[in-house]
Amino acid sequence: MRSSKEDITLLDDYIKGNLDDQEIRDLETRLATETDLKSDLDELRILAEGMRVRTLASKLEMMRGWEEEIDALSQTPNNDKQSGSIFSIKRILLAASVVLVLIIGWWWMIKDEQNIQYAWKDEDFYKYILHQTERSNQIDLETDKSLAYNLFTAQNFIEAKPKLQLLWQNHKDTLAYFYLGISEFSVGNKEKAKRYFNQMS
Amino acid sequence: MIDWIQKIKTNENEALREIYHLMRHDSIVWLQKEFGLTADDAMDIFQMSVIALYDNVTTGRLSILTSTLQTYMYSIARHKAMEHLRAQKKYVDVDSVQRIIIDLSDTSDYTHREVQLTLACRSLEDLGEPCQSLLIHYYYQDKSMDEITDIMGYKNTDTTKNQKYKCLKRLQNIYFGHIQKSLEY
Repeated sequence: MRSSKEDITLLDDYIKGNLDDQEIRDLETRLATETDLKSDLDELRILAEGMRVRTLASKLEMMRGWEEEIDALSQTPNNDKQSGSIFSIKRILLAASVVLVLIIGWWWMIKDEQNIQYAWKDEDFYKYILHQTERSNQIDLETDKSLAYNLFTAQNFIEAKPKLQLLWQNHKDTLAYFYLGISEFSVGNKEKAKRYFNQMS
Repeated sequence: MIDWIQKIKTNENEALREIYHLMRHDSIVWLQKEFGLTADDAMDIFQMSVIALYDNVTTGRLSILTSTLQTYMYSIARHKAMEHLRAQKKYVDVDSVQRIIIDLSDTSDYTHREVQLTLACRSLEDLGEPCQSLLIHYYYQDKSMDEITDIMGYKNTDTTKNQKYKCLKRLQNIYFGHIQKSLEY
């Protein structure tokens, strides 16, 4: 390149579009006659374009490097589809497990809620209380029988059932047996309750 | 809405990485489905589309994104896919510089321009740093002297101008040397 520093600056501004109309006309007049200046302009344009190419090529190299990283992570080349579907299957299985756990948990809660939520009306329930009771706030805990009967009277059928069962097994307490039937009925085990009542009759 | 253009201008490599990973899977699937391309060709066109986006932002051809990024990228990719199908060229093992030259080339003067650009790129690589970065900031990224002074850490803009002139002279000498060598064969 044979042009002076000032002419190089002028050519730079020409390439970048920084000259006004008059300056462009003046330069183009010179370019038509000064072969060295024209040659330097052509060279400058190629070098500027080369800078563009070089920069873009380095970005492409960078992307090709990212692809290698992606391939290394997926462990097999061109595995995008497979990784994608495996990831989806895992997600589906995980979601299904969570749903199953939630359903089981919900069923367990509902089961218990159903068992303890059945409440007799007092006037209906008390006709089934056949033992002597004293209405008081104090629960007599001294005997298993009292405890079982009190739990039944309080309509706490879940806790009453095993105690009533023991009374029947150990002492053949027929009232406990009857109460067991009522308790099973109250928690929704109607078939079981029927068996108790049938055996009694 | 993310201002991708500003992101590219501020931190180009980080922005390109983000865009690349965001758009990669869907773009390649779309190219394969829409144009019947192989995975390799779809990947090539996707990468060249990202390059085109970057080039358009850097050269000022794209200053405002009036559509979504995906829409813009797909329009570039569509154009490149159509060109590819017309030319039916394979670019899998082409080096980066050649790939860019092919993409940017005017086919009417392909061979001579390709040689010139290849030699220009080689000259830039031989030039090394900091000259390569300085000249790219000035000629390709169109940064002002003040910006380049800040980036390169020079004392003032006069120093930057002098440095730029020296770097350009060195580059021209290297390029001339490569041209001479190419004429010997």
